[in-house]
This record gives sequence, structure tokens and C-alpha cells, in this order.
Amino acid sequence: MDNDNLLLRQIHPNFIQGSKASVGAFEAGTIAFTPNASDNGQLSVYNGEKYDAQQSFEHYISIKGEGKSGGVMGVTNGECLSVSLQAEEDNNPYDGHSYVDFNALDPKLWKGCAKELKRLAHERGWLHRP
Amino acid sequence: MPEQTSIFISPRLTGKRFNDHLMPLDLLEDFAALEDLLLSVAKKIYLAEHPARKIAPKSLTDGVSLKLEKVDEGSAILKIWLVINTLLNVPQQPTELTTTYFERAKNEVFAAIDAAYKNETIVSEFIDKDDLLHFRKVGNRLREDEAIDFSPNSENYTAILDRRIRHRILEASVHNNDPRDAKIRASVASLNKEKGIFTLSIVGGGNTEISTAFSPAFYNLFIESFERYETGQKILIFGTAKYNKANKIEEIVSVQSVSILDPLDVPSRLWELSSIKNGWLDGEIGSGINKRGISKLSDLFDLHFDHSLPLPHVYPTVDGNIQAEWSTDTSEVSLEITLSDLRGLLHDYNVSSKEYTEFTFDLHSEAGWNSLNQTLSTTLSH
Repeated sequence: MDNDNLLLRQIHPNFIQGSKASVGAFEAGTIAFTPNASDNGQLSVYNGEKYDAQQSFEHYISIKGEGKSGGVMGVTNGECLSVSLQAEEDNNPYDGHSYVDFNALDPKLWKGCAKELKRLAHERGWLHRP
Repeated sequence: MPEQTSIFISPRLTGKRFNDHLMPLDLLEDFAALEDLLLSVAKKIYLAEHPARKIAPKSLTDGVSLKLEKVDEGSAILKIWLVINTLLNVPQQPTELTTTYFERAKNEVFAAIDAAYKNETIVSEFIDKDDLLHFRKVGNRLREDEAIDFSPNSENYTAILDRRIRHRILEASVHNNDPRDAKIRASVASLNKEKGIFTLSIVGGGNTEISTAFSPAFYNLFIESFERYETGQKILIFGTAKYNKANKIEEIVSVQSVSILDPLDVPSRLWELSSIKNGWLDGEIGSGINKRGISKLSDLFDLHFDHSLPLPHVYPTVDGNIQAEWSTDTSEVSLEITLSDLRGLLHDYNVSSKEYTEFTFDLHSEAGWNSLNQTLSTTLSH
């Protein structure tokens, strides 16, 4: 995967809150960038080479249901590498499914890495909001 | 007779009368009243989860009773069993389900006793003032030096009932409709110019109407909030209000001040998150939020958080807890709060050095909040 390869992350609406700075700006929480207990340390993302942000959003709600994504943020493969995280495309359970692998890191470092990803994603801004 | 049983409560009795490890017969009536209370609360929980039903099915409670097995020798601890007579308990209501509703009812009742023990407001969507009247009988025969500890081994509650705590509970059961001081968070949902009435959607539940004639200064703030209703804009009203039996605002009687709330107002956000149900993340994953825990957190935040500090963004965690987050130029700070025990774990990550530090806080106590405020003050000023 190229360093410029964008990785698209669906953000659940509960992890989004309107920001203080302006009514139109919304923040996503760190938890949206942290693998949960059922993820086996792998944070699911869409491969930006195969989907644009809107396409990934539409695909996601078609399989998970309306209301399960509140928008799309993204980080590049190179940005993941900069915080010692590897990204892989596994095309499972659908073509273009990829993941950012936290397993190589000590779990004590996961929170910090998730905060780095959140920060990088916010610098880029929302890629799609319904 | 076919019965399914499980040990349900092991209350400990303390006081001179129990030193010989026997239970006076008159206390049996107190426990019979407890059974009535549990039946009532179990029905309410069932109905809350089945809004299409107007009454709970008979199968939920038929054949269900509490039975005292024995008083252990050498101990003043009773063994009370939940007994489900499977002949009377019809097949479509599995006994496991009945047990679950009674377990939840028990937890609600113990939490109510716990709140009275701590001199806090009893907050339960399943226990109303009429239910609290059961305490006219529960604990009625306790003497001055006596107490019942309903859950002596619990880490979650201090469910100790004595005459003083029973009196507090009965005081809470009296519905007093006199106006009292109120701090109300609300969004302005509608304006009827013809009648001169705003309709407020109140944080904490319910709607109420308020006249537009209170004050021209307030009018403009109400209008500002009304026009930004879709963005979630809320106002904070200090005044007096009448409350109904369920402790919901019935009528705003007077208004002393009105202000526009910060969009990150934490109690408002916590109220939004309190409706999260199991499976919220993807249908299977994502635990629901403990309403009592989040309500208590909201009250304590309002009371003890240093409001000169920046407000955090607040999110649910996948395991049903709460995470508050602050971002500065150099730090990403998160505070994960476990709702069952109100413990806070603060994680301060420095994006320049890539190092982190962690702190824990007991957010039950004022001292814990003071310590959190001091730590945040230092951390967020970097």
C-alpha cells in the first residue's frame, strides 16, 4: 500500500459532537479511532484507492444500516506508519476492506496512537458528512 | 410442587434483638411488604420495555414469591429465596426472564435505599412516590438500634435501612406540589405567538410551556434558542417550578435568569447519551448506558467541576461508560469514567514527546473532583 493511500474510517454518530468553535464544525472522539474488543486489534477502514468517501459511506450503511455512520474521516497509510501502525488490505468481508493493525504495539500505547490518528484525521477534516 | 428457586437476598440484621441469631416473627411482615414492592417495580421495568402493553402479563408475577429459608446459626444473616412455582408460572414466560426482572427490580430498590443512605435524591424511572410508600411497612418494625443491610457484600450499594433512612425515604414519597427552586436546561421547541407561549423540551425529560410575557430580556434569549433549535442550542433557566409525582417539571412559576448554554454543556450531552441502548454500535456491540450512573455523574459534574476550565467533548465508550476529551496544541487528554463506581482514569498524551501520564480519581467525592480540577488546570495549560 502506498504511503499516500487514503484510509477511510466511518464515524458512528455517537462519536460525533458539535464543536464549540462553530455550529457547523463537529468533533469525532478518540474511541472512533480505537479498535474495540471484537476487532482483534484491527481498526476497520475502507481503501481509498477503491472507494471515495461518499461511496464508502453509502456502502457502509447498506451493510450496517441507516444511522450507523455519521460521516467519514481519513488518514493516509504514511500517517499510520508515522505512529508505528501498519495498514493492510484484506478484502474481507468485502472488496476494499482494510485495517490498521494495532497488534504490533503494546496495548498500553493504543490510546496514544488512537489520539494521533484522531488528530491527523481532524487536520484533514471531514471527507464526507451526510 | 414444581418450583424453581434461586437465592435472592441475604440481608444482615443488626441490633440487640438479633444477638441471639433469631429473627422476631413480627419482622416477617416487613419482608412481605418488600415482596409487594419488588412485584410493583418488576412490572414497571417490564412495561418500560414493552411500551405497546398497558399492563404486565400475569405470567410475570404469578407463582412468584419470596421465601425465608432459615436464619443461619451463629449469624444474623437471613437467606431469602426467589421461588417460582412452575405450575402457576405459565410456559410462555420463561422462569429465567422472570428472575431477570426481579433481579433488576431488586437492584432498583437497593439503589433507592443507597441514595437515601447517602442523603441523595432517589432517582429511578421505575420507582415512583407510590412505590416508596411501601416503606411504611418495610422496616416499620425496626427499633432504634436496629438496621437491615440488604446487600452486605455488595460493592455497588450501601443498602442499609434503619429508622432514620426509612424516614428519609418516606419523606421523599410525599408529593409536594409547592413551587421550589429549579435549575432547568431546555431547548425551545416552539413558539405560539397568538397565545404568547413557548414550548420547552426539558433536559431530563418532558415538555412544558412558558409564557412569553416574563421579561423582554428573556424573550430575546428564548427566540435566539428557538431559532437555533435544530443545532441543539439550549438555555439555562434559574427560577421556581412545580413538579409532578414523577419529579418532572409541571409548570415554570417564575424566572430569575436565563442564559444561552455552551454547545458543549456536559449535563445536556450526558442526557442525550443516557438513551443509548444495548447494541448501539453495530446491532450487537455497544453496551447501553447505566441511567442511574449517568444521572449521578451529571449532578456531580454540575456541582464540582471547575467551570473556569474548558468544557470537554463527551462520548460513550463501547462498554457503556463515558469518555470526556480535551485537545490542546500539545496534548490530547481523555478521562474515562466508569459509571458503576464513578472512577475516572485520566490519560494525558503529549503529542510532541509521544509520552503519556495517567491519573485516577474517585468522582464520588468532592476531594476527587478537586483533585481532577487541579490536574486538568495544569494539564490543559501546557
